[in-house]
Amino acid sequence: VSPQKLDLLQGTLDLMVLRTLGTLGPLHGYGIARRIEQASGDAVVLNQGTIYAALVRLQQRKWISAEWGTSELNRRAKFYTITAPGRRALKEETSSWQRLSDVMGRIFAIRGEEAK
Amino acid sequence: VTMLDRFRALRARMWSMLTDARDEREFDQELEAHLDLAIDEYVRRGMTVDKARRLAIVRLGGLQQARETHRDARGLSIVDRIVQDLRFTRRALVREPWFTVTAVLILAIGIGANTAIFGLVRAVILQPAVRGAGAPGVDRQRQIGPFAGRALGGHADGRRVGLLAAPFTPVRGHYGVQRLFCLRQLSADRQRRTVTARRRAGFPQLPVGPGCGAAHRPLLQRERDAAGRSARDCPQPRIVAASVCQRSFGCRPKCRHRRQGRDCRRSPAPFDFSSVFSPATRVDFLSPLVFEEVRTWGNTVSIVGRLHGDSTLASAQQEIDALSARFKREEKSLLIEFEGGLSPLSDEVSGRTRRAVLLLWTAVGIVLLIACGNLSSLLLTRASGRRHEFVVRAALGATRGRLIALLLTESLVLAGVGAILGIAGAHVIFTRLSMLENLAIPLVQRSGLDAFVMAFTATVTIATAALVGIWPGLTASRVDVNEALKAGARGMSWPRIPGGDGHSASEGT
Repeated sequence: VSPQKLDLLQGTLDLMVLRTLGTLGPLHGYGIARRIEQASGDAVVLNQGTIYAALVRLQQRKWISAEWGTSELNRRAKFYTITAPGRRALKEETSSWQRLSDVMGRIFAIRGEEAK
Repeated sequence: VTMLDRFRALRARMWSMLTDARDEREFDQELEAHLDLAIDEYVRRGMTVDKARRLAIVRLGGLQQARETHRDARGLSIVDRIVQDLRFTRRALVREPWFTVTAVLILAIGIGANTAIFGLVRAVILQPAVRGAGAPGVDRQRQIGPFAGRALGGHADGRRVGLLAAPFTPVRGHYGVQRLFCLRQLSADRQRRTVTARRRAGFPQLPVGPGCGAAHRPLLQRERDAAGRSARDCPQPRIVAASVCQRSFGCRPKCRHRRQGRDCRRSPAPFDFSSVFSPATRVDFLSPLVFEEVRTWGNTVSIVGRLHGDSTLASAQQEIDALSARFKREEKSLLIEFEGGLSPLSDEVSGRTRRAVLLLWTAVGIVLLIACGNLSSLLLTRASGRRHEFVVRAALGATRGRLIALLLTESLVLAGVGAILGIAGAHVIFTRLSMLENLAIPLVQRSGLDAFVMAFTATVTIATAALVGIWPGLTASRVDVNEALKAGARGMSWPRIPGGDGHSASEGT
């Protein structure tokens, strides 16, 4: 990974996958990986194999469901859909991350002023 | 993530253990679909199919790695590891049958002997001498054993026994206290009687009351005299265990509220009884004492009592001493010195055998420890022969803990199989012991395999496995991969390959 690329924090991949499914609707594993990469402006380059581990974890919590279907290019693929508990969890996790992000932003802002 | 989510995840992981092969197939299909989609995209960007496939696999992080990451997320990796170690252990042990058989037999003898002795310790020492004596309201320490048998000699009668009851509440005389707890082998022709000397049948201070029916008293002498009947003419009420009736006489007794019911209709029992013990009672048979029937020499009656709340063994002994002096004053013809010695019931029943049993237990424990030491050395020798295997494992990424776990699994399997054989052996011993009615060790007949003994055996098995496996594990897992590979390289001769440059050979593993 080049210096410009970001390492994902523990637990963030699951939230990214959930958010992607929550906003874009049913997607297959490859689609999810590509959307995350695109959405990050290619700042995050995923080891795409880890997407499937995240999908398993989310399935185990019943936050997403899976079903085999056909892709837009007529390829057979497994499509994942966010469930109602998944939407609730997404809302909570998003709010939690938002708060954390705000706090971190404020802390960095203080340090920025001190530096001046 | 809530507790419910965690629970769901755990349940799914456990369920996945059962559907592993199907999940694996399905994930392979999903990976293929992933690669196809990625290749399509790269080909659209202008790559060749081969290059696109290579790139797709690289971006995936490798097919095998993706499978392993998925498997770890899907199942319980620790269970997977244990199953893997067990499979490997099975193969390793099957490859060396003589070593396996020897080790299992050593452990079977050691663990089996410990199980058998512990069963005996539990029956003789750990369990109360009287079952149920630990129940609320029954103070085990305050129960006292037979104390007046020899002393009363030929002069036992209801009055004297009644007088002896003074320090206790209540008190009952009986024959053979040990038999009270060992009457499992009663048969029609070998009736052993436990007798009471007081008015009501039963031992209120022991858990041996009638389960149904009435506990009648025997006729008193004056009542028999008034009726003009001898003691022999008056069948005495007896309490019998339902299981004994069924086992010995093939009939199920029905309780009747009458004094002399003959209730075994299909096959008349050779005695009359009026009550049936509750199913939990371990006494088979109880009959009141009629003094006219009692032999008039030697030990006549023993008495079991429970001290009053405010009495101590010493104060009770003082009262008995005072009574003995009184008996001697009143009855000049007493030939035998009266010595009413009190002792706790547990001491009376098993006191003399306790030390011997504990000594035996210690000896058997030491034998198992010695066996563990020998087996540990054997495993260490064997492990040093597998050094190369451990080096390869370490080179492939196995941690030291993983190597120790592998050797511990091996010793646990050996100890587990040994324990199963040992338990079977102990069961045979217990069965034989319960059949030896005349064995001099009191209470030995009630030794057996119960949950407590099994828990002890499980603990001993795990401890044995740890003792046997930990030393070889710690020693053999201390692997320096670099040194080992260098040593291997120094001792290795590179075969010359015709036409080759000599560098294509590799050490076979």
